[in-house]
Amino acid sequence: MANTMPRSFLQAAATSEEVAPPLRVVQIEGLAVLKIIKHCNEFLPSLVTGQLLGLDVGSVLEVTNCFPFPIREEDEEIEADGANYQLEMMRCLREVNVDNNTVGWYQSTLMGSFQTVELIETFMNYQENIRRCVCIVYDPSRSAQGVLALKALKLTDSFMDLYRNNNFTGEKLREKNLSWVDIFEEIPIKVSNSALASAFMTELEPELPVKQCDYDRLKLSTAPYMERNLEFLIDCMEDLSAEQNKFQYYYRNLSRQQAQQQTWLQKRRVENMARKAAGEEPLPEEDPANPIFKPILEPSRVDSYLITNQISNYCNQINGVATQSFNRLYLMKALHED
Amino acid sequence: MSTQSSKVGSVGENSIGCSGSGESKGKGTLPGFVSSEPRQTTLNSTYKKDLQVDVKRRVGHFIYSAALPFNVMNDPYWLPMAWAWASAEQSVKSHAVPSMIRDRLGHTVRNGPTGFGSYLVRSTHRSSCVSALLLQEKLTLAEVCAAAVPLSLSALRSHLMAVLQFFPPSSPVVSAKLHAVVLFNICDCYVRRPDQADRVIGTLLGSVSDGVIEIKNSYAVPHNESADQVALDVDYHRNMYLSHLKVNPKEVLVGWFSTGFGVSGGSALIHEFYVKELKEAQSSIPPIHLTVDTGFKNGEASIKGYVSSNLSLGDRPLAAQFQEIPLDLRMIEAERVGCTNLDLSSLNILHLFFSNAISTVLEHGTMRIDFEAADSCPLYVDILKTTVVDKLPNDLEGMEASMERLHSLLDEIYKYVGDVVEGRVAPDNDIGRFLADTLASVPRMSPAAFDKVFNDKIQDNLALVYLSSLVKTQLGIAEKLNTAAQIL
Repeated sequence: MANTMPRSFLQAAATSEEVAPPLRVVQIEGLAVLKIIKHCNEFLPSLVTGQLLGLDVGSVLEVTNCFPFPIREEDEEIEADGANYQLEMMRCLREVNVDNNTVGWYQSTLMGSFQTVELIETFMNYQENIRRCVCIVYDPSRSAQGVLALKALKLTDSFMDLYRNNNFTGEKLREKNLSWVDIFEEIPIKVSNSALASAFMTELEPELPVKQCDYDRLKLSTAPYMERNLEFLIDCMEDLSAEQNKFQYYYRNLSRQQAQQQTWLQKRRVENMARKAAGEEPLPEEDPANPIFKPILEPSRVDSYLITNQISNYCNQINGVATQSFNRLYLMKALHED
Repeated sequence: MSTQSSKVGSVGENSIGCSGSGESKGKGTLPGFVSSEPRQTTLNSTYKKDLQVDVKRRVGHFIYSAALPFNVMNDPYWLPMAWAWASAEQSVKSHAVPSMIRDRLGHTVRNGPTGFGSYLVRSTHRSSCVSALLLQEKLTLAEVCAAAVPLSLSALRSHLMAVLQFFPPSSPVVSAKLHAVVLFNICDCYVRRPDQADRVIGTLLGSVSDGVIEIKNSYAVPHNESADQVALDVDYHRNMYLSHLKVNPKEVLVGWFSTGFGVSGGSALIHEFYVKELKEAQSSIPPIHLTVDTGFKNGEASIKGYVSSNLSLGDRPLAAQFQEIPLDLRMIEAERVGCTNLDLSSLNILHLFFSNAISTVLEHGTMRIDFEAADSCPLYVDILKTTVVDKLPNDLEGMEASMERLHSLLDEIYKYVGDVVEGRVAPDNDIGRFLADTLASVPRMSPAAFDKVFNDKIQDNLALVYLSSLVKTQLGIAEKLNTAAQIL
């Protein structure tokens, strides 16, 4: 009965705080995809970013338009310019009825090496203002292999909480059961087009059996791409081992400190016993002024997690390309057998 | 041509009644004994020779300076005008004739139809007053052509100096290339236009090289259009232009677009505005006008590009003539991501090639285009065709689709060859040659060599796969160790 009755204003206001359904799909318009591709490719090999505009509807995040950011030099005065540019663009787009709502940003990447601390920080910045935002990553080099390398990423909530508290000790992470796979969450992308645009495209492109992407995919030479991938992988491994060395160092220091503390404590106890025997007051067992009691900071694990992410990304890519080349090789073999 | 004019000459000769060159008309027995070439000198040839030469020169110069085609004299209005002139010459004082002609001409200019057709008419009127002279003197066209020498046709000239100037597009613009982004943007703007607007207008950005304009980007500009006037938000246009320039300083203003079929009156005004903008930017290229027919008139999509040239009479601009230029729809190299879609219809893209017909017929006219599919230019995105794509396919699925397509291609070729062999289909030599070339391009290697290469490659790939799996396992272990090993 309560369902059919119109809700009172209080009820409606009370329920407005309900949690939004989790983001399941990112729906991009063909226009935005083309713009992103165009912008990223124009400025190869430098990496560029831009803003995404769209609507947040239930469990679908719609991206309807985007605009690129100018390349910023490292100069303080340009900061204000950048903000001005953004405001100007938003205002102008509003006038032509484009959705004025920022839903995230896009960036181009090189061989999939986009997991950096800056990414996380940008995410945090955006998250403060916007409830739901995504980052779309486009990889031009992978697209040359014949597949549209567009990914939508989002930070997981648990990770965001941890990051906000800047609390990355091993304990906390174990508590939350958070491993490196849980930093980023990849959301499936759906591409949609307005009926008019698809009508135009269908009209203008007659059907022919083979596409350029096929030529790309069936190309036999994958060596340069694989080589670069491997190079990046090796670099990352080195970084990872550096990080691990850091951890080892930290642990060694920690254990050494602990050992020192223990010995100092022992000495104190012995002293105290001697004093008790002599009838003096016992000295405290803790001595904060002593440098060996200074807590050593545990290095943040964020970096190592990020690096791990990158490595796994490279591995995945290599796997993908290797499978493709297997296919191609067997095809060649069949062809040659005739 | 010369025969025609001589016919004119002969008609005039008969009617006027001068004894012309004295050609004998009789066909009696006498010609057998007498030569048909008159050797007797005629009055005309002796006394009027100078006059004739003078007129020839004058007429020749007139036609040359007015850039008239020399066969204006074959125009149907030539003769009646010549008659009128000739008879007017006798009854009206000579100095009054030029003013008569001028008034007549002015009247035509003010009220006559615009356009190239009437241009001919007007020029004929002008030239026919000179043609009367020609008639009188029975000059041939050939002689006139040969005698284009400067002369002082002062009376006529002063009034006719304001010649109708037709500026051919001396600009180097030959064709245009349109990127797909622009088309999508225009469609999107059209869909989002305010309710009361009928069409959308906006600016095109891009670059020019070698007479080819490449249109790379665009943005819509708010405008108001009513029956007799058009208002464009210039500030908005300038602001957006500056913003876009910040991102990519190489993309400059190249023109404007509008949705809707054909070119309308308001378009000329807007075009003027863009011409001025480009002039301010000191660019030497003329702006290009793109129309995108979103209404799908005639049941098909038409995207046309125009360049305008001005027709003016002296200082007074008469009309802007929009000439169509060939338009090329293409995607930039990197947009050729092939994703197949649920409907696996594979495509290839082509150039839209419009025939390079300069419209000379109507003011804003364009020839109806036929486009030929040039051979495949790479680049098309399947996902942009349909309304919804549910999932971007990954490597493996894409590979599968490619293989399927290749397979179907091979099937088709096989079928075709079978048909030809059995005589069901007429053989096409070109295709046959092409097939032979393709087959010949498969590298010939001995089986042993091929096997070796093949195995090597397979081993390399396997090694890579092994390495990457190893690394991933290592990562898993390391991570467990890192977080789990909190011994202290």
